[in-house]
Amino acid sequence: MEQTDPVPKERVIPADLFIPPDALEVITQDFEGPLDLLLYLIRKNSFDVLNIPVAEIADQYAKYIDLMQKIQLELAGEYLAMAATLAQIKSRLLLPPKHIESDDEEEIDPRLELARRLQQYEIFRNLAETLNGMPRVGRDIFVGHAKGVVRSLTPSYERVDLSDLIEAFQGVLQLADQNAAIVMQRENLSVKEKVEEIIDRLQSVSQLRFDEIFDKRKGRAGMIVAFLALLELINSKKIYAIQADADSPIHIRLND
Amino acid sequence: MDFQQLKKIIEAAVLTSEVPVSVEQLKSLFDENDKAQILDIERALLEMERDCDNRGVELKKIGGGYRYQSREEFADWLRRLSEIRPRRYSRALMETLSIIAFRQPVTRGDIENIRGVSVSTEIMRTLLTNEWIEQAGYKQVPGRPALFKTTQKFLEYFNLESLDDLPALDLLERKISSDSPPADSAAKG
Repeated sequence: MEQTDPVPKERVIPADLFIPPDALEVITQDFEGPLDLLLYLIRKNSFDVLNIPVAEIADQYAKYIDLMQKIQLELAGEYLAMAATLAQIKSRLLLPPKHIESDDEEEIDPRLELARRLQQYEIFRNLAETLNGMPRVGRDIFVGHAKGVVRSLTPSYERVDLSDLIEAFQGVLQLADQNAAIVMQRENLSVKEKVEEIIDRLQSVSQLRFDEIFDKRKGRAGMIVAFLALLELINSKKIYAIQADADSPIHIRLND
Repeated sequence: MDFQQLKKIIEAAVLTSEVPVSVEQLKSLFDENDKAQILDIERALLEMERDCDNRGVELKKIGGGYRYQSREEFADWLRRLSEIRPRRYSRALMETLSIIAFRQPVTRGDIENIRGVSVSTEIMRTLLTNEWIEQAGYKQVPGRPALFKTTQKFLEYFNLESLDDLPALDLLERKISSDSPPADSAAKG
């Protein structure tokens, strides 16, 4: 079978490359940046952060960076920038101390800024470790709560089916029957007109309560027409009906 | 209201709430007729805490509210209950989070200065989606970089009553500098 995948990249270590005995440890360690690597080197040599033998550290640092690059480890630019900073500090320390005109002004040790950054980084590196070890929800502690109480303030709506609509309609019809005696004269009723009326009303308000669609003065016939209009609109997907739960009123909304 | 009755209501409220409940919230459960005083509520909570002495759960104050939670010592067993293995977070993420927690509000630049490497977008996104950190306005300097701070959820997740529960920063600072000679003597050397 033909191999289409590229050959997995292997880290070929040049034969003539001198590898310090403990280099492997450095290479396999996951450094979080130049400060992390530098701290590692300082601690490994038991140097004092505030009195770093810069020449030595700079050489070691450069050697490791060099090695990591040779074995094709991708290095972020920050590592190289640190190498440059170390080299700069080293060269400044090699220069004879400047004769400063005013005697009381001491020359600032170029290592101080680096020491401050290293110390600060070390503090947060330790803190991260502490934080990581602290009990955590889902790992060390589990929060108790009895689910089942609906705490949501916005009710979730459910679509209403035909039987719910008919049931609601019967309730409205009963009301109409109570008013039946008042109906004096016959009116011309049109489903089409009612359809338009419902759409018109829904365009000005976001939703209508089910019984708001029915005009009780129009009697049983008027209510049936309104109900037919409603079903027509639902069927043509122009509107939809929802309710929060079985006991709450049905609402009608316009489909987008 | 009878104290025992009040205590039962509080117990039920704390147990059924999805987030820690504060004393003020518990107070709002009662109306004037109940004559429930803050002191009664606090006493009830204290008793509830003591009632847990011999139990697998404890009542803990987290981020200003109370919740029941399992005792840490049972984690090994309880972990088997959950199908999802607790996620491990990288050192880079924890360092970033520590800096935000201790130095808040901070900008990305502040984090980069301390860590010496650029802040990964992935890490910030994880911290924001977990709702451990949130944006806290902008720093009033040129470029107006966004400021970040930790959230209530951060306290809840890391089991902290407040940010004061985090290890004291100045103690750590003192510890590190006492390991080394004072700065000025090094400068003279």
